[in-house]
Amino acid sequence: MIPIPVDLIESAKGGETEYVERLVIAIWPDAYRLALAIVGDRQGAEDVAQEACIILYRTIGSLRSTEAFRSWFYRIVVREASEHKRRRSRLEPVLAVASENVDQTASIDIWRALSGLPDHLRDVVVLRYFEDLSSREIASILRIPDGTVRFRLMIARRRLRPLLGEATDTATQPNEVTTHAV
Amino acid sequence: MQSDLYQPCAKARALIAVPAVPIVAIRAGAQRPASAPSGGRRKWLLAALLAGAPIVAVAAAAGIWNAHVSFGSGPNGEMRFTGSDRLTGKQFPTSADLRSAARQAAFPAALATGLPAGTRPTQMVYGPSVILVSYRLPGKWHGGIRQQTVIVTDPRSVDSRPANPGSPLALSLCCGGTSRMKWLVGGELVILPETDRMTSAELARFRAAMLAQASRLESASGPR
Repeated sequence: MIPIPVDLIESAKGGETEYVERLVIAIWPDAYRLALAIVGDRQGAEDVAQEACIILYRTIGSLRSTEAFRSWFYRIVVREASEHKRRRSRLEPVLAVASENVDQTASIDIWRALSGLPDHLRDVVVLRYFEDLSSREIASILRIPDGTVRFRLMIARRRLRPLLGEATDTATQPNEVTTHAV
Repeated sequence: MQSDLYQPCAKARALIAVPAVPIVAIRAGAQRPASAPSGGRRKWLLAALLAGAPIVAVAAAAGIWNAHVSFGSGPNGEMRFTGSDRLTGKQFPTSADLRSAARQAAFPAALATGLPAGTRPTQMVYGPSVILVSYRLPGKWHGGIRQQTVIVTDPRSVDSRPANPGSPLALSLCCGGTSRMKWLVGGELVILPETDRMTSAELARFRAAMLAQASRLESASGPR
């Protein structure tokens, strides 16, 4: 996740085109990656990220709290991604994304595993493990209760375990217990 | 319950190649009316094309001009120009403009013929290996305009492989942009985007007229 300077968000809220565009440029990689993880194809991800950035461009002035910028923007990306998926059937396998990566062996299983999840589980997994967000932040983005997020994560992990094989069964790192425990 | 998903997810995330920010398209999109439906970049570009908006300026400003047509592999497909030719655009081109573009092409370009009577060109984008002309057709389509884009291109510049996602994307031509019809006529490939509004009968007449024109040209120029 690329940190966005608070003063840049503040300046962009003022509506100055230069700062808004700087903000768009700064957030674009995160927007694209999140969109790709949700929609599963590059063209769709680019469309989603672009639409989300257009909405950011238009509505950044309405953002109430600078601290809430990322949650606010991710909500837009997730909503646009859901719209995108509704508009078209998901015919392009997510696996195709992984197959284009350099290190295929490292990521191919996770893409395949993600593609096997229903949308509501996939969204929480992506926000949690790709974007490293807390369950409370995810709840705020998806506008669902915190408990629902945690429940979905638990179900998703159960489903992913056999798909990922050893990957989820390896020993837990000690520091992860405090950092990422649900 | 713990999970070791962080590691594979972080690795997968890090491996994602992020394309360049389409800031020009985002800027243009932000300026479109807020009530317009959000249908993704392709729909927006098509709308821009239909409206005669300065697509050429958009793409040129992004520094991504080219004229290498490739067909995407996704469910919607897309036609992309991803090469190195410099393209030029003109709104409401005259017949002389069209002929001039054909003369400048690096392939034996034969312009569209056999379109319905009353059709007029509204926009043209052209370069050495491609000529794209958008035509306004007579009549209405569900109360709206009828338009047809005709792309004639050098067959050698068409890449049938899926477009490389890492390469700069110049322009997606149409929403759901698979070609409705494409055929080789003489030394050029004619592509008709799927979303356009010619009827099947009009398409058949157009194709027949293009083929007839190609045979006339071939017989006039002798064997190649």
